Amino acid sequence: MTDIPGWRRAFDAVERNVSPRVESLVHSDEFAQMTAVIARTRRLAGNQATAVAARVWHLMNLPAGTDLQRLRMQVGALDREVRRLSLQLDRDAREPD
Amino acid sequence: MQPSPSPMSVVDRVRREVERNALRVRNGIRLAAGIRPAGVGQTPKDVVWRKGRSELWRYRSDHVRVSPPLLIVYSLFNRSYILDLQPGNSFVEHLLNAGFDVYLLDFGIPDERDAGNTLDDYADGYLPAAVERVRQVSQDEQVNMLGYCFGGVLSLLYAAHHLDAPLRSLTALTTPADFQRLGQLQDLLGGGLDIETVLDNDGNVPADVILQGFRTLRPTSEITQYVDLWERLWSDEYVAAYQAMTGWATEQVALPGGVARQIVEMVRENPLVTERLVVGGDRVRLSDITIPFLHVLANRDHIIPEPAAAPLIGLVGSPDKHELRLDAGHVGLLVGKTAAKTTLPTIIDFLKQRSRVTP
Repeated sequence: MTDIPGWRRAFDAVERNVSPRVESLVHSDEFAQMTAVIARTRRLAGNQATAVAARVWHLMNLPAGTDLQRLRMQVGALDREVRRLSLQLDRDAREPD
Repeated sequence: MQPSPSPMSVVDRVRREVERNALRVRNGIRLAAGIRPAGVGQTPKDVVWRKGRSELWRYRSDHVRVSPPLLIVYSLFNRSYILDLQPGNSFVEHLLNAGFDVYLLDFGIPDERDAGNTLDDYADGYLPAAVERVRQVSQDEQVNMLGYCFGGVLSLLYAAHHLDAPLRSLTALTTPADFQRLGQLQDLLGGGLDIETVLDNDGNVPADVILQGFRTLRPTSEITQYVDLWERLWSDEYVAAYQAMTGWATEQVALPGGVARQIVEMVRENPLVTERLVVGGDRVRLSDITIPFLHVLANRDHIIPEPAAAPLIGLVGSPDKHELRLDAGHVGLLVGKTAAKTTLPTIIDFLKQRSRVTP
């Protein structure tokens, strides 16, 4: 029989009692709604902050972080298209005439 | 009434605890100082193909005895080195020792260039190209394919959309089929989640969001892990394994936003089960897959619960299909005693029976 220390047995007893309650709380609809509200609030606050920063940069005729982000997304989309075309060309080259 | 412990056994136990406490202090200092044991993913390999962030690795072997070669398709979650965790505890190492010519398709760490990726990019782009490259390098007409977790989903989509693919067999490890029986994951993804609120500026679901999502499946597991670690801190072997495993578990990668949207859709529509799956504009059915098929699932898998994985064997149309259910967790299928004693021998046997083996 495994020699389990007393402190470990005590922890396991507490954990068996607490874990189901914590899981129940974390998996509840209320927790999910609260998480969603927090995520939306953070996103809203972030968007407002970046909008203000963008206006400041634009006043100085300089690109804002949002402009650079938009460029990155466009380059990313272009990269993906090139990748897809490259894979398609490889596929077509393999097919017999 | 229990007999009183003998004085010697008490002395032995005290001596053992004193020794263990000294080892705990030593290992504790090493952990705190960030001193790591030998790294993960140590089996020698070569990159034989790359596209974007994805790479195809061929593991080196001087004693390949089985053909066709085996292509492992990893998942889009976590890092792939779980399949090659540590010397002596490596899924890849076992396959190499069994004589297989092993390749692994790793999808790397997505960035803004991958945000628009969809499942089509993988099933119709990366997988066919990787299969072709394996054929070229190994000079074999066919390939055995093995997909782990979501890599299994990608493999199934590829096999179902490319019925003339040069596959000798298909193996899936703990792969979900019924996305409405994913338990807590399904609640998380299907419960009115607006995926756009969790995407970062790159257009991907950030790695830390995915990590937090997985942590909610077992919210107290992190504390239990620390307690387990304290209890076994005296064991060098346990500490090394702990560092490797927790390092992997916390090392999530971003998920392309395009894929994330589709996964949420899969949870809502459950297309694998309802046969409403569309890949590359075509409706595909798992029932059209007729190559030999093996599905290994874990009864104690809290990430892909048994009810989500169980329907897969019935959906695939192969006349030569098999299922193995193990008393293990999601990762226990791949590493540790269960993997070495049961998972791997079963997979190896399944593959060898459908492959050419030179003595």
